[in-house]
Amino acid sequence: MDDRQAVLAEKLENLLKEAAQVSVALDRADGTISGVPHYSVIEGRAHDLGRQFSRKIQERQLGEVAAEADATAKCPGCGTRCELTVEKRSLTSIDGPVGALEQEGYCPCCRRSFFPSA
Amino acid sequence: MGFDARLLTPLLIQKIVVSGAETRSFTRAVKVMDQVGGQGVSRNTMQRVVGDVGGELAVRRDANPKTAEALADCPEEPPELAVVECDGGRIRTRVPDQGPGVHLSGKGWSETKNACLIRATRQTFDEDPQPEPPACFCDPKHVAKLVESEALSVATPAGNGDDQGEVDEDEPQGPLGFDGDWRAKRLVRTVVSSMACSRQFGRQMAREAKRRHFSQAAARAFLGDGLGWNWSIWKEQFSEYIPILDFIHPLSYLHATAKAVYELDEDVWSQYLVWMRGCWQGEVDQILSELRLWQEKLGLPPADVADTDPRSVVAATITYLQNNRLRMKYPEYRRGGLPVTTAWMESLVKEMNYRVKGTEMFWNDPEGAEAILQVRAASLSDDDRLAKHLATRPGSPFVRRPKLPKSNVEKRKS
Repeated sequence: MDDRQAVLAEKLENLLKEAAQVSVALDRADGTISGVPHYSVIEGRAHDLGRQFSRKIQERQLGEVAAEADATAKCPGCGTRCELTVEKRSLTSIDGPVGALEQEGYCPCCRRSFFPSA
Repeated sequence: MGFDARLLTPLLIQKIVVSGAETRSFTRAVKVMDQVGGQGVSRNTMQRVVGDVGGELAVRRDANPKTAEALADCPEEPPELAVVECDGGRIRTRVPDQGPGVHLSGKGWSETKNACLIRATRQTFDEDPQPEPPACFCDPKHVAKLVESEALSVATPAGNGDDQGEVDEDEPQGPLGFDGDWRAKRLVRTVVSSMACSRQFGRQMAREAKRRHFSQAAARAFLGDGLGWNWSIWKEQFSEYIPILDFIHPLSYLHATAKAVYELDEDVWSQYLVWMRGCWQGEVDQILSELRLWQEKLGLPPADVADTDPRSVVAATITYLQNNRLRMKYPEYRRGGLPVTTAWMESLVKEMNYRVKGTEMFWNDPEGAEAILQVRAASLSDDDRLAKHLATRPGSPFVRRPKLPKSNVEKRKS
């Protein structure tokens, strides 16, 4: 692991700790968890946060892919080079809906949209 | 990135397909997805995704076995023993796109074809490692189950009572001259299943065998019961393999014949035991001679006589044994460490049926049926082919996935 990776890993660890602290404080503050709860409540809340975190990562990663891609792409149907625009699209992942930014092209020859990142 | 029709992520598709393949119905699979997988999907989505993936698996099943497109893994070494077994099954089918309710196709039942291709270990012997038949074949109750008839009122041999539970049909016994079990051990099983006609199904099996280097195996065996298409496939695609008739299959003929020629239960049972033992010891010609004597004594069956008439029963058994005698050299097979029953196949058929056959379980004919057979077969294969396919499945650049060619399923001819 190089220096940059080590710094990022440490930053992530600290942010996760902070996120856990905030989540616990929020659950106590809004009364979701009080006293000695059934452990399934704790587990369920923690898992919800994990899923939320997973969705954020997926959205971010897809955004990175869209940002790095070319501005034009060939239509997979006929090969015509088409301009791409970035659109928001809702995907369903194992952790719930993800609002992803994705490049979309429209081929005037095939008269249909296509998604180069597929 | 592997996006399916732009809406579902690849890991979600993996969960949907595995749930759809492993649970009893799509309705149960939806529940499992919601309660265990943590992500609710509709029944229609489940069905559509399983249909898509099943179609893709069918295309890869039919791909050139020399290319990476083929489903099976190429082993580094050819198997020591390659065993191919096949058998038919039945599922209920309906005509699709006919509105609400079930619109049966034909009589509602369609034949499926299943095969297992097994890489196995084996040991060879100078002498027959099990010259005496296993105890289960001498147990009237167990035999009654095997031949699907009522048990005879004869004494049950000691140690084979009702409390015995599952009986191991190949259990080795007696002074064998070696330690342990002579039977081949299953290492890797892969499964082929389809609604296709026997000729096309034979080609599917041959492609799978080729991909797995079965032709280079030190020993090869092909097992089936008396179904005609089993042996057509053997003749067309696996003629280099040693053909073996499932030992259990002739037992029903011999048992029925013993019942046809004797009246008293004791006589029926002792005659069955003699013939069964002879069959186990490869004395088919001797049994045939005895049956011909019985035929002479009873006379030939007239053209319009019932199938249950003793003359017809004896004639049917003679024909059956004559047709199969070259596939009944059981002592030779045991010396060569080859299996003598289709137990592996029977076990597979039960596993397939769990998902595809049941009350109120109807499949669109043929695409829906073919798709679930592909997904279930891949799921039951030991080489992890379903997970590997899903992990490398290409995405679709369009919102709607292109329809797969329909040529994968030729309408059934046999």
